[in-house]
Amino acid sequence: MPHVREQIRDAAVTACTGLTTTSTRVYRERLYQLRGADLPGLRIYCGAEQVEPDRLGAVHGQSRELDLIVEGLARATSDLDETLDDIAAEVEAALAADVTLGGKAKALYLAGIDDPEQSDESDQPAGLVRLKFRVHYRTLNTTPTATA
Amino acid sequence: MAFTEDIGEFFDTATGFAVNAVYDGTSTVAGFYGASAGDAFGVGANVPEFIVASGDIAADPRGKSLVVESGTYSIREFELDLTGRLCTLKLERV
Repeated sequence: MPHVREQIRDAAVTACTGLTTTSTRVYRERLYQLRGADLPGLRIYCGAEQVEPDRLGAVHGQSRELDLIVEGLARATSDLDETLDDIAAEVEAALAADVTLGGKAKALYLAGIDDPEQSDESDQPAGLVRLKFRVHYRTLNTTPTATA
Repeated sequence: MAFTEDIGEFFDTATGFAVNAVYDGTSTVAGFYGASAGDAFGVGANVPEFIVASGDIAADPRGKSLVVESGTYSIREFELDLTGRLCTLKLERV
């Protein structure tokens, strides 16, 4: 059984697959380059996580706050910001439809959106919007692969 | 006797590496086409450029079209070299 972080990320990928703008172009991969044909798309990964023990002891519960990062990527010769905003709206709605991600999370909410970025390091203008969601979940320290 | 450079010799499409392009839908211009590797937010792409004699194009060519090597582009930026006689066009695929 994978870490609950991974289960949460997988659930987010499932929730964000099939959206109007990005369709099935949803990627977990960050190491290797995507190509233009992979856009408009989403890159979803887990970021930093804060862990608070319920008490001290060999076995204890852990309250966790995970940053779930969803990056919307697009290329366009016009209306690039509008496309990025459309992507953000679709992702927000998709994840808000089930803030437990199938029972894996206690809560999920949008914590912020970074400044949208644009680049001319491409044969068409490329843009990125990064959404940061905060996911609350609980595990036992002995079993990070299951929610508690 | 002053030296007069013929910049046209530089753009040799017959035996050199220059190619012809259609500029602004009407005129044929010779130049060097190339595309360096780019990376925009982890998305790999080519960044196409075309080097041309500045006298063959408008002083401000932005927005003009360029058809070269089977690709149709819009000129989005341009940069003159120190002599002012060569111009690098930064292209956006249409």
